[in-house]
Amino acid sequence: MDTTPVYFQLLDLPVAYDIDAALLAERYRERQQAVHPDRHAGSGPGERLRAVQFSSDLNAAYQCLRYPLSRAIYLLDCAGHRASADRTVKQDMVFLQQQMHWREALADMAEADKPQQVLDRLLDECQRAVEATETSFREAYAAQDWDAAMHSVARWQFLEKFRAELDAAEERLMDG
Amino acid sequence: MALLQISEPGKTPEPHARKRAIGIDLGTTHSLVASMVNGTVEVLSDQHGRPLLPSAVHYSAGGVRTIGYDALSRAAEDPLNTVVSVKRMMGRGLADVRGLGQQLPYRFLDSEGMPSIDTAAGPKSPVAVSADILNALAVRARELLAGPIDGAVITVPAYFDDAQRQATRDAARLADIPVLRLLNEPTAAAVAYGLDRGGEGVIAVFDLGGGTFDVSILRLHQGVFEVLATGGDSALGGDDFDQSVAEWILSLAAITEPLSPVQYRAVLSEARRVREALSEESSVLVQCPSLDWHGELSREQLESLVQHLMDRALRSCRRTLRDAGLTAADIDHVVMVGGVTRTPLVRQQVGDFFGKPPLVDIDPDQVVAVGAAIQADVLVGNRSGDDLLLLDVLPLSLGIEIMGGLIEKIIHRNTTLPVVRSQEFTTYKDGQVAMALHVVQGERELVDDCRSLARFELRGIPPMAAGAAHIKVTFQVDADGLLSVSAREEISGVTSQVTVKPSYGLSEDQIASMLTESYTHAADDKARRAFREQQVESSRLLEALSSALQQDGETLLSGEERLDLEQAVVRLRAAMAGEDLTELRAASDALIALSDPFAARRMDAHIRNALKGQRVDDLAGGVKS
Repeated sequence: MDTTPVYFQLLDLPVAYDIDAALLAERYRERQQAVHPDRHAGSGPGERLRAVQFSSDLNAAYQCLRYPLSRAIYLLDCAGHRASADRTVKQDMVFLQQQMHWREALADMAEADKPQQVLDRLLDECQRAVEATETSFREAYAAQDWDAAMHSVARWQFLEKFRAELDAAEERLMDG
Repeated sequence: MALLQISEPGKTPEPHARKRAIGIDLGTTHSLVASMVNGTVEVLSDQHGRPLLPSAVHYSAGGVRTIGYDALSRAAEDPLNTVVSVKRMMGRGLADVRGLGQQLPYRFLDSEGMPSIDTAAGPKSPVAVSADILNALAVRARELLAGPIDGAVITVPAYFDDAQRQATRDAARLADIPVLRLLNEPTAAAVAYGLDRGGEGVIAVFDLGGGTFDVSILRLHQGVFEVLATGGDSALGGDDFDQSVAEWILSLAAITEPLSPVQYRAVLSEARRVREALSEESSVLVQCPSLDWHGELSREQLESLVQHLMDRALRSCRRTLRDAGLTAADIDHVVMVGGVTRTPLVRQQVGDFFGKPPLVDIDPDQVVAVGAAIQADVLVGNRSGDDLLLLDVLPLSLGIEIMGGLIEKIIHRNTTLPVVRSQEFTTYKDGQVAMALHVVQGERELVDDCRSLARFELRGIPPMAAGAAHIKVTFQVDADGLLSVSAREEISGVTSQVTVKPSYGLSEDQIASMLTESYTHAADDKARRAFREQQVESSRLLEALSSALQQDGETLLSGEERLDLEQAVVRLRAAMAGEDLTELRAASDALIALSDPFAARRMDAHIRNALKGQRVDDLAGGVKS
């Protein structure tokens, strides 16, 4: 079942995966200027409450649309397809093997001579995998091939999770 | 039936309607009040020309209180009855306060929530002490601005959690100050610089105050200040610098026995004097007559004594940059806040870290109050057409306790405010009609490692089979960073009653009883006070409605709707002139309900206007290119 793409409507943008990031930010700021509670500090309680609601909705829309992965998930959601990461990825043996390989490298990083080099290589490989996944999502979404699109998003979620672990490892390395 | 006074379009109803707006920096060691006077910000000084008010209150038997410099001068002789650094106790429990160590020599009364300090004038909660400081500032402002305050902005450290913010709000309420907004200190500092320079870019604010350390990364673009990330350490400040020096003195003076509070206070104030003097001089004589010891401290020695504190501060900077997704090279300006940033070591290391010299041309003790005054002027409505908008973020994640002492995060830190999030819960047992929610704030995975904010009890859930009820709990954090919770059972549509038990705050009853005890309202009894509060609220409502009608009444309302509104206004005015609180509340509620559709239409119109502006711009851009 299709859902109205409210977030795109709130920011008056065409419903599409590729968006103009500068325009998105500009529209967001402009609308906040009009609806933020600070703009209605002297108004009655009804209007102040509504301002908080509007302003919160705008924040939610902006946060969702500005990041590629959350935007992709939202687009699928609006088209009535909720991605389930576990189910799809479990069938993808090549992808799973690569994940295992990376995780081993990350786990062994502490004993490596130059841990930063290991980390840099992993970050680089992960980045390239994200880019490839993004491309396959873009193509699948344009072709309305929902299964392929959901599969890409599922892989993408795994990749972002791994990237977050890499960032955390780097933080420990820098603080250590 | 001419009921609302409506003036000619484009003309202000009263030519002298410029409102009195103040910005208050409620600091750990000192507080300030500033206001926009004739187009420039003025920090309001006392009759001796001193802008700072030491955040110190002395309580003596018989209930006499002294605030500021006079209180501070009694700190040495009567430390137990002279409350300083009360900001560190706001919204904190007894265990946290004890953890602050010897710096707070008071006798605490063990009670649920925030501990009270046992003084010669009776028990004083940190909220009441803060209210005394705020009241002294408000009195100063009312005198110098020759009239009542229409609105105030009070600053808080960006790192303050919900309990600390709520405690600050409560203190303002006790002091009878109308608060427009709680503003984060670093945001206020950036406003002070940002407006003066009219610039754009990414700004890092390094705020090392008496008791807290904050670092914030902001972007100024198209008149919007966006906080990209905020971090810091709520237990690091100038007091720690002084304590490091004091410990050095004690070790050299070979003091092994614990000192009396009077002696320790004397050592601490000598430590501060020496630390401050070393900003100007390379070496300073240290004299502690009470310990029968004197010595000398050089700037280099001081730097090695406090280096571990600077390391902690810079680590926070690194983490905050990472949260913002930026590197030091992306920072265009560095703003310094807090007296401790006068220390050459601090300036130099912060400059090295960000790769550019920090801005120091606004007094680091005053810059926050200056920014707050500017924002107060905007919010009170003195600068219509001013485009400056501040978007703050949630400093610490909000979550709820789930099975096994784990936490489910509902709203992550650094989320732009305001924010509304809903989460569905269900019942555990057949026929369950109530449920308890424990809300915490913090980044850790376990409840015990986070700060307990409040326990909410939801009652009135219709009895159903276990797991059948869908209780939607909505968490809302407003622009001040304050949380409110509401709950609704989705299938039956029943709204649950939410009772809040703040973990470290004051309950509504406690505040009410403090209001009646409060000296400011000694003459008022509880009912009269409540009536007066409702009167003030009602006149705000009338004023807001009158200006809304003036702007949009013609276009957005039918003749009939307008007549209904006018009748409700007559009823409210009559109730305000009367003495019946129940009728006043009812009349006010009726008017609010009636004007709600009008408010909705106005908000929609606002958005449409913003959209329209956009389309015109787009068109113009298209024609040009």
